[in-house]
Amino acid sequence: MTTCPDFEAISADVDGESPPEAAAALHAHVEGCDRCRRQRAQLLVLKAGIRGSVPDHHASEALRRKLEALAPASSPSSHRALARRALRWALPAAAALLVVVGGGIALSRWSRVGRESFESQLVGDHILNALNHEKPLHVVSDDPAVVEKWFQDNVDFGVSLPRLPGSRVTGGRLCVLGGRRAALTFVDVGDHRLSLFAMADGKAGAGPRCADGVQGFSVCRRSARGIEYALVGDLPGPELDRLLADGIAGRADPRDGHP
Amino acid sequence: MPSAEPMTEREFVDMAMAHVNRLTRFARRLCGDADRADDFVQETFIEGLKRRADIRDPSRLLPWLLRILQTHYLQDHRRSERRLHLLESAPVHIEPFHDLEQEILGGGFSDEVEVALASLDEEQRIAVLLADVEGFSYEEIADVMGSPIGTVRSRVARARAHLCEKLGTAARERGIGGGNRR
Repeated sequence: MTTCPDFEAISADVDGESPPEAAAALHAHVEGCDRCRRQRAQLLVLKAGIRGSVPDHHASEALRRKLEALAPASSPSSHRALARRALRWALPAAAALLVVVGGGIALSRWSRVGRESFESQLVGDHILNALNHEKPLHVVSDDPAVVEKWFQDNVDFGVSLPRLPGSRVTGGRLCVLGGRRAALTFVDVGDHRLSLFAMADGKAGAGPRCADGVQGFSVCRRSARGIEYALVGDLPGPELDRLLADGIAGRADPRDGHP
Repeated sequence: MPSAEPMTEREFVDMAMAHVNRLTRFARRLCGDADRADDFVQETFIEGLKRRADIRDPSRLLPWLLRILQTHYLQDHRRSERRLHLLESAPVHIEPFHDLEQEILGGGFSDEVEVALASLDEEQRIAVLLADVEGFSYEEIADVMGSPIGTVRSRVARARAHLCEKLGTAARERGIGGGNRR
């Protein structure tokens, strides 16, 4: 090789990506060419510099918990697989019994794990975001219309924020819950900081439900107009539920423009 | 080794969790924000769960996940920001800059390397990070990015040319090796 290789060829060579025959010619040239030798050395150093400039970030425990929660600890499909294996060896009657009983246990476990996991996630996000401020707000405003508009521009479902009586909005952020994108609004009611989640309703028609004592917090959920709302805080469940119901009803008022 | 049966949700999460630190590091490097990075990793898992039947070779799960992650990132980036257009067809020509090696090796340029990386066109940044940080071959990068190997080779080279220019300018501004441009 008598002429200098182009920059791209030297760059590929420092990655060990030159074809063998081209590499031999390139190396022979670089040995005898001060400019190319310096360029190759510089690229090797740059490569090391880029590698060294990247801190070794680790996934946080909060993220790991969320990811782990995406799949049940023991899924119904693995129970079915177990049952299938058992059927190969057991007597038909015993196998049938096993499937019926085992399937029932698996199903009840599945729904319990799923429900606990989702409400725990809501409380986990409430602690992380609303109380510990571990994640920054995506929108900061005490005007619920501003927060609502920001969410409408950033999620693919029509967010209509319930106006909780006697509350003050401070801002919001996006999060992912149970595989769904959710709009999380921070709301103060007196001295109580609440988290109001809104997400596309995955179970249309599900009735209102409340749970007290989820890691010391109450969680109330209601659905309206294709959106599922969840309100989390340290107020008693019935009080949270009343706030949420009144807030949703307020948005249903035709004078509000949200029929 | 091709997978005979689609993996269960649990199997997928268990396998993907083995790569969660690398996914997080890559996402953090792409978007520069811990919260957004976590969201990208989570979205990657969610989409991965939906599409896990497409996984043909579990040993290549990491490139498969990185491809989902970078697609999410690029979609998000294109939606939210004006994209920087570089002339991909212009020939690359860069002169070695005297003393730059010493500065990079000495660690005095780590901030400048960060700034220079952040100024790259997104595809170039992804390509050079996969090559230099993740140690991927061009074939693997092509797999992640869904691009031909030749395009990867070109993107990596252009990224490096841009970085050399940026770092050279930073060095001159600091008065390092002034007038040594050859």
